[in-house]
Amino acid sequence: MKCLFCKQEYHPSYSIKDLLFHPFLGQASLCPNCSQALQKVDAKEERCPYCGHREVPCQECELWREQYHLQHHSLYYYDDWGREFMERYKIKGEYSLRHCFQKEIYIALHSYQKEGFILCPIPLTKAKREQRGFSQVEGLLESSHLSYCSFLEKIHEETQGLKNKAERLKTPYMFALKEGSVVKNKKICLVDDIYTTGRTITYGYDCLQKGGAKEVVSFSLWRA
Amino acid sequence: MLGHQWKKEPTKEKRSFILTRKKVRYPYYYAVEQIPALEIKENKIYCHFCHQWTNKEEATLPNGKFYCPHCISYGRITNQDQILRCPFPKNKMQQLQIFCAWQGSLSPYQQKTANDLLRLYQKEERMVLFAVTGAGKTEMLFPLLEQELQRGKRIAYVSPRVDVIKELYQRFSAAFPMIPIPILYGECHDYFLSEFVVCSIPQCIHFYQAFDLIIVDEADAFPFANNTLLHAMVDHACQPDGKILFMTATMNQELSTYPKCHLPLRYHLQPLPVPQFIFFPKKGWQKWYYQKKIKDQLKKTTRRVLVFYPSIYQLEAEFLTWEKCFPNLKIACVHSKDQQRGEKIQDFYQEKYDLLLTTMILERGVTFSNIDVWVMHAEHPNFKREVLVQIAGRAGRKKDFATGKVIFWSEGETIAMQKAKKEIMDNNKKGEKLKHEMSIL
Repeated sequence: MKCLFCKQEYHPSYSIKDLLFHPFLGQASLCPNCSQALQKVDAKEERCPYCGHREVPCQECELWREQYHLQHHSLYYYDDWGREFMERYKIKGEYSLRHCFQKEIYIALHSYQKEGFILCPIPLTKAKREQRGFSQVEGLLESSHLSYCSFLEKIHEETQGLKNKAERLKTPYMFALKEGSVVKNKKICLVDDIYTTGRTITYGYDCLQKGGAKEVVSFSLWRA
Repeated sequence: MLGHQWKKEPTKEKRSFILTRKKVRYPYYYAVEQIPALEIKENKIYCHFCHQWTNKEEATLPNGKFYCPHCISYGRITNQDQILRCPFPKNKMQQLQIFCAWQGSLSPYQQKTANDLLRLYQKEERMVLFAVTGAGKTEMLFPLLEQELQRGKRIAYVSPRVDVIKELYQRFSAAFPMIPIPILYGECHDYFLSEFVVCSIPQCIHFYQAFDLIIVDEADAFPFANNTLLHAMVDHACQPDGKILFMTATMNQELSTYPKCHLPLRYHLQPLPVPQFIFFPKKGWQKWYYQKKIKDQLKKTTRRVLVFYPSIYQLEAEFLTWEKCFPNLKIACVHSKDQQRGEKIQDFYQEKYDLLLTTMILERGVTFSNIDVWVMHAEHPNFKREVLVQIAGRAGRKKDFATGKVIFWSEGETIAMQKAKKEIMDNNKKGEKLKHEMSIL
């Protein structure tokens, strides 16, 4: 099989558990070298209970603890490997990379779906979507065969990627509920690709709360 | 951007330089031919930039467009993009008298191989020049290059290794001072029109049926070997009736199908150093071995030592042991992720270090004088036959220092090690035979 990321040939090794329960058995993904390079978020590690930051009395969350009750979960720490991945996936537009984390995302988000959460990806502006040809979050979800429902739409053209922390925190309101979408009394899981300062997620959270959502949690592939 | 220089009439001249819309650097962009980048067939798409077929399912974007996943590292090409073909101007080259300014002379054996090559070149479209490490392959090319350049043919010299490209560029510029030679590789692509181009293989994508002769050096090296994309690039850069010459010191299966000329003798006529196998444990007891066995070997030799490791991880782990055990020696380690890679290798050239620990990056294309070559953990699967032969070929390359010791430290012997040793000994035998035949004549 060919590794999706480094394009090297490798032999996948499956355990008996994989043979019985692997959701995407026999499909190419990351080779052992690449998956070793990833820094996983350890479930047993002591982390901030709200945003999942590694500093335990988390200063970032202090700012908005009163306002938002975040419950964030992420899969990997955003290191150089992750940066290279996101650059190739998002900026160069290598859409086939969406399959890299198929299994991991499926396992993480399927458990949310079982608890009755509806997945809601963070949206892109129309211009960006047209230029890129795809939405990076929806691509990840579709490759994992997860159903989702886009409640939000973006009203500003700005992106968070190029700003520093202070600028990010000052960003004006970015999202609005889509016309005709009803979130009242629903349990919703927001999905994004990277969690850096939490500004994007908190705005999404705020927007859904105002619409009357019952419970909002969030998930991201990378955690800076 | 291009508008004022456009002529719309289609050109029949096919040999051309290819650009995508995003990168326009080529200075000769009159008479540009525009073609859609992707051709969509029933359930496959064909990319005119990298000449690869892709299944539609793999290449579809959610908005209904298609893109080519093979050449994405050059920038994404979708079916709305166009590629520009800039045909070379006809008969624009100055008719200079071209000759080779290289002052040295070929040994009788090299001369014989060079003549064989010229003869083979008349008959065949694909051929291999197979000569042992340090046989002087580049020098043997000069008669062929001179002949073809005088006939006004276009030639490209390509290689998968950038280090090789840079070194050979210096030698070719010195040998053919009357032709300006452009050099193209990752960070450097300032192209200008010339009969002779030196470039790395990924840069071949910018040429379409442009050359009459392509010389592929180190044709068995990663990533060129067994890579369909790079092979397609080279094939399409060559004219349909053009010729491709592969050069290598270690045959692989694919190359052995082509007709070859063989020279099993180094230019200084000394035999290749045959590797010696010494036991070295995979783990445990290593410090004892360093202090005892390796110290003994270091005492025996008067030369500097180039030490190869199978991976960066092992190199860095054992570098500390080296420093602890031999505090008096000047030791450096260099690998592909090292920031000061170039400087350290330069320092070793200038004999500032006694020992240089390295990974496979120095496996081919480099010539140090007066060194021994050691391979640690030679049983590692990364050390394949051709890698070991190339590594052993680093020793004794200079005429004044024609001997060098090659030691494979390993736990047991692998098939690759045995094959490598056998290949070196076979080459030595064939070399002796050739010497004998020539002396009778």
